[in-house]
Amino acid sequence: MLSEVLAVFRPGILVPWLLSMAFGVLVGGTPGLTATMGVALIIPITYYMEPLAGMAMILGVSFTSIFTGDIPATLLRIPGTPASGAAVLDGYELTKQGRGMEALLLDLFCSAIGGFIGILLLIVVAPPLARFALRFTNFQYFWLGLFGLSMSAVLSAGKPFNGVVSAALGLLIATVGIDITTGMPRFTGGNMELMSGVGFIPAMVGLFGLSEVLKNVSNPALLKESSITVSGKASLLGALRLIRRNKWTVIKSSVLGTCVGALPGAGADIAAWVAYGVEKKTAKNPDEFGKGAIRGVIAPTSANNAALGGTWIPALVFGVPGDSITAIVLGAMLMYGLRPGPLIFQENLSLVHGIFAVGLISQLFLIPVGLVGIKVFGSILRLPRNMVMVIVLVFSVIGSFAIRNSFFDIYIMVAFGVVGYLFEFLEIPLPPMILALILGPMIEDNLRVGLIKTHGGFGAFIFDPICFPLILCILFVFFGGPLLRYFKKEGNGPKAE
Amino acid sequence: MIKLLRIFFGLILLVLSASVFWTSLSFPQAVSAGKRIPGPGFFPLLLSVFLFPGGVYQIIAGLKTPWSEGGKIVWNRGTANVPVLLALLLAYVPLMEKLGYTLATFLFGMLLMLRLKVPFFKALLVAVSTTLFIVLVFGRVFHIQLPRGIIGFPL
Repeated sequence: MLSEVLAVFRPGILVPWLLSMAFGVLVGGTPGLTATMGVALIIPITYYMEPLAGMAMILGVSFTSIFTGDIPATLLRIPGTPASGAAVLDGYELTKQGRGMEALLLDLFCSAIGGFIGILLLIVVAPPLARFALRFTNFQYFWLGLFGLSMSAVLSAGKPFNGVVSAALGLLIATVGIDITTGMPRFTGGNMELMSGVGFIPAMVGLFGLSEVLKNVSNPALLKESSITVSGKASLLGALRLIRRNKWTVIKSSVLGTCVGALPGAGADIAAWVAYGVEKKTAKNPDEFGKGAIRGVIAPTSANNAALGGTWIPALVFGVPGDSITAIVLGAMLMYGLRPGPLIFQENLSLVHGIFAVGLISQLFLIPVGLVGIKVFGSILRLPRNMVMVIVLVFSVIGSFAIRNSFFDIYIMVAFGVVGYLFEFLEIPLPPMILALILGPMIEDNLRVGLIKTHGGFGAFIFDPICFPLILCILFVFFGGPLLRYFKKEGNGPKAE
Repeated sequence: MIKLLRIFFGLILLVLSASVFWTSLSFPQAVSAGKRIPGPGFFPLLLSVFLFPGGVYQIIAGLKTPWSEGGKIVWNRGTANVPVLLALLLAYVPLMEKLGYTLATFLFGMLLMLRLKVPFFKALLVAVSTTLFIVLVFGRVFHIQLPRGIIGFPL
């Protein structure tokens, strides 16, 4: 284990890791660029590296950009990433009171502590869970994949039915290419480039990168320059004292964030809102929230980074992504020739230990990198968005091309970019589509292999001690909310009368 | 605008659902131990059945959407940026094949930034530095075969 920890300090891993964290500062700090997009843009580079270096880069970008996303949220009231949505509420209020720097330092330490707790829980929970997951059958994997997808469809922003449509389209796109069981081409239209399926990286870069660029360029107001200087003065020791005074909020929000992150489909954004909501509900003075409450900054910023560790639990253990970032990570792992799932704990244990080590050490690196990020942020904000968008576009093109040296993949990226842009208008969420692209082959293969084993019988898919609860969970995901609302209404009815 | 978009999307889903359904039926059946088991068409067929109500839902949602939602499309420089960007992007790919990556990327970056009203010298600086960065990192460090074009210019 110690040798695996020391291995992450090799220049071949350390240098790209630190560079990716610097890139994360840029991505997170620039409103309009998301952590998912940052990870998507960095994947093509990691393809040419050893897997651990690639994983270190992905972890570096994701942890840093989730934190730096809180910087414009705090200073400008514009979340840098969706995960920073809840940080806006009290962070910006503190900025208005001239305490912006205090809020950012608090945010930085909470992010690092939250991330640390998230990874610690991952280290504790993942190995025993993986041993349990080894006993999973095809039927159980089928339902687990479907459960992850349904969570994503329902929990994503917008109407749940739109999430289902997005997921169904993603699953359909995942069927394009040669069918592994029979060797028959499906929906390729005779195009040789489609025989190996729709490229995951171009699709993802298009959905998250190009669609964002299109959204920005279509709004001239967004392209205008905006600049701000980090306001107020605060000391590191002062921030640490505040954290010590609110240590239970930090710990509670971090654990909660990790648990929410571990649910397939629920990412850092939902974790931050849940932690904020719980903190407000349990606070002695809930009225202070939204007016610059310190705990209103601590809770979401601890939870959003902690959730990143949580999202890796289903991704590593079951091969089911916890959010869109880990969906991309799973795609990258498959690209490296790795098999995410319980077997990775047997076949590539040193890589898993390396990921744990990188995750923990990233939190230590986050503090100096974050401090630099806060300092240089003023100049990043002064970068006009019309320039940033062109740079993002050029990187999106080369990122899509570089995977297979294919011009066709650039067209795929453009097509998905247009789809992503139109989906914004239709309020159709994009994460279910990406998750479906990743989970599609797993869901279909397990369904068909299971049916081969049962000679076409569906009974074993339902009457099984793990399948049946999973089916109930899926049904609850879709119908639980309306049912609970109905019973609540029924319960309140007579009282009201 | 949103109303029409929803109805149009619903229709696309219906057509897609129907075409996937018919295409899936044409795929051969698989057999295991003398029994017919789901073949390559089974899963897409299942999905097409799911997509159909999705299409109907979008059409109904579109019909219920008031004309005023999302507003009318006001054709201004911002909205025109989207087709201009896509056209430049689609021209960029064949240009890359002809002129090579370096020159095509520089031209693409310059033209797009000028369109987005970036001052000329700033655009020049960003276009040159971005192109050189990518050529160095992707071309030299990661040895990706960037298109050289007919000029063969230069990596």
